Amino acid sequence: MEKKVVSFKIKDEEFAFDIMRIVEVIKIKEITEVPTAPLFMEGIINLRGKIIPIIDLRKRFNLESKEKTKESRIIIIELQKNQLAGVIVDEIQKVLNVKKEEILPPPSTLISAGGKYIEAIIKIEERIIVLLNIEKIFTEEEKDDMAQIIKMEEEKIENRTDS
Amino acid sequence: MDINNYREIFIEEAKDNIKIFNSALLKFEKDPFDLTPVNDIFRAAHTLKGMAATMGYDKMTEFTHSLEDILDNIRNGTLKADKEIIGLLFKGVDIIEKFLENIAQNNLDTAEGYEILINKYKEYTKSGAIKLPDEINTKESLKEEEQELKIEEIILNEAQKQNLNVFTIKIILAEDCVFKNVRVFMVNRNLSEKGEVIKSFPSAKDLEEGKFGNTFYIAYITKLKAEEVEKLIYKIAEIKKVEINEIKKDSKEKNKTEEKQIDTLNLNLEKQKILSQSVRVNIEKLDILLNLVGELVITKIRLDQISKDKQFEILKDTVNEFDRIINELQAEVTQVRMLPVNNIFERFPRIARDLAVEEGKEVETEIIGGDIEIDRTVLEEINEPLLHLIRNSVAHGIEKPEERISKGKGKKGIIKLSAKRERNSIIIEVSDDGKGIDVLKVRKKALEMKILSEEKIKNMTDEEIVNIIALPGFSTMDKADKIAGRGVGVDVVKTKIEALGGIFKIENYPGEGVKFILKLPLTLAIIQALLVKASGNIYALPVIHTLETLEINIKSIKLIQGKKVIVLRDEVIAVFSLSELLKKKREEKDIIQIVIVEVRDKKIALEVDEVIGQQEIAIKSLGEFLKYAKGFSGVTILGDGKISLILDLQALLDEQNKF
Repeated sequence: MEKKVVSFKIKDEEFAFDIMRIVEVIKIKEITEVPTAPLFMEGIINLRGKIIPIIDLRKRFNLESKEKTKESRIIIIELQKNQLAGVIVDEIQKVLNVKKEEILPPPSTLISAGGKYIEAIIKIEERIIVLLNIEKIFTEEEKDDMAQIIKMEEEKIENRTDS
Repeated sequence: MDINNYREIFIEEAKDNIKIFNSALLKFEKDPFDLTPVNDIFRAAHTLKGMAATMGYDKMTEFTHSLEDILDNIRNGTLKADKEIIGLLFKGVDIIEKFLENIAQNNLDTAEGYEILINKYKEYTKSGAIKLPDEINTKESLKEEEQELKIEEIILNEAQKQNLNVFTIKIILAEDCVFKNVRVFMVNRNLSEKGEVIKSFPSAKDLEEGKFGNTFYIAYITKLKAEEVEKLIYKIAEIKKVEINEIKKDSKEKNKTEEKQIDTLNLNLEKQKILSQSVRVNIEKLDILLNLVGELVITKIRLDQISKDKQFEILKDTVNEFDRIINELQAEVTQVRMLPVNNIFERFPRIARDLAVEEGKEVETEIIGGDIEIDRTVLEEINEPLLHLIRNSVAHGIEKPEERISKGKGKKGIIKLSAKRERNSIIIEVSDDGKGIDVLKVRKKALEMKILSEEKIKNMTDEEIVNIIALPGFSTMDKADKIAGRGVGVDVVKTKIEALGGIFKIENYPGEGVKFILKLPLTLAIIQALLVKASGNIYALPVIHTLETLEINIKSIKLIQGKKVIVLRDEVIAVFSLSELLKKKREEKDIIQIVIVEVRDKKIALEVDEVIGQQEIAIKSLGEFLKYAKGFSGVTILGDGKISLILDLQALLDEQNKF
């Protein structure tokens, strides 16, 4: 069984999304900021009358943000419930045909900016491409985790002052 | 076609009939000596029976039949309607509602307890009835053709108004007639020249195909007299016999409205003035339509801007014309989605009555402005909140009869439910003439529950105290009673109304009652908004929340306890900078633009960089996962294609804990 993925570049690493989840790829257009939204959210765009939230993968991966170039693109993907969302990437590479045996579970030793958003590793001719899990990118778990930690820390301090 | 396709229609129409049943029954309960409402109840029950039978719901048919019997006995005076019987009738509607619920959910033709009620009904019909059951049956089984040709009362009324006669005509063709359908066609053509054939038996299709014996029946509306009609038909060859029967309005009792679908002969369809024409449309289709109109409005605004910017003189007229058409279209589409508030109001008198009976109280509900129309989405959303308020009034507001008399009030408590339109909003008020909110008790309870800090509560005015009852978890009742008082209710109402972009207020008149005021937007899709600029972005503020805009000098901003305020016409108003609320840098200026907005019953002065102006905007949802971007109720697309966020100041202020 073959799988088609679209690969793209962020910093110097190669990543990919499953092509079945991609609706279209557009050039960077004006993004409206939503001031109270989570940090990784770049804002929203108007795509032919539809409002689509945009995530900057560089921010999501905690990399330094970069001026958008003429290679920068927004990949529009479909999440559950027909919700569309956009992901900003540095550069689109190409569409790849991947064989089943070329898709591997991520090794624990792997160091990637993709971090916990990795779904699998694609290994073709010594190239390593990180296949990303779209759902994980768009959930806010990270922020929740942080909030949890902060809360626990606060409680600890409170308890200490009580006793 | 599969019968399931009709189920939705069946349920919708059955609900309409239940409404009629309920409101007529309430009228009847008020004055059991006036039998006019009983006719309405009977008709509703009869229609329900007919509909259930057509759909093949035998149990529901059986039930409505026994209900009909008891109503028939009341109508012809053989059974006196006392409290118990009226109670049984109320239970009857509940059972029908249960039937509908089961049918809608699982297509199950059943309702809990319906058999018990049938037996109770039978006891009364047996002991009180003069008529033998057989007789009732013969009355029910009217000849098929008579059933089919029943004329709706509305048509009869209309015909009478226009001085038209209504006939049912039996036509027998010669035995040796070869082209029966041709004769039918000619009869129809001749008659249609002088009037309108509205029904036929067998159906028009069968007649066209010649699928009938030698006899057929039609219902006909015309200016002609019976003899003239007869002559007209006899002009056609191969007609053996014509029998004409005139239907008069005073014989309407015989013509119980039967909701059977009968095709009209589709030969002369040009003048269908008398029959009312309406189509049921799926609400989703309307939503799509409205969305498209929203897009059109956006494009219109864009076009408008281009023609202004570029000074295209030729374009001006066209744009104006376009503008007018779009406005009309928008008004029409919005109108289609509108429903009179009575759609939900009508249920409340019954609910209030039942609750009052349980509490040993007497309550009458008055409805004012029931025909005011509001967007159906808004209407659906406010059903629950209104129910809470009515429960509240019955449980906490209205006193027991003895108490009321000792206070010099009428025995019956009055709950007023009113709707009125005010520019682009609808104001709904629920008021009662009960004891009002006990401010002292609320104050005490608030202190006990530590709902707010002691200092804060002590400094609050009576009016402010009243608003405590809308805080989550607050209740003055010591233990949760059945109806209300669980501490949920008013806060739920308030949250809901505010989520809809509306405003919720409480007015308290100690000893005389309480008035709850709900101010709601007319529609949720396209609203009037004030566009303002802050930190380089344009934001939209729903006009419903804005009061005025002004320009002030920075020097007129004073500091009270570290908070910025301005004094406007002797009123102290807190100032917030929109840029700061959005966690952006505030621009320092000498002259600042202020929008006075109303948030939670309080005025605040919102500092913005620029007031752009008022325009209508089409609201688009922020989408599934931007829901945690607090402070915005949606977005809109501006004339130049740019996105503008719609501010939800309440949420924004809550987020900052500044309120």
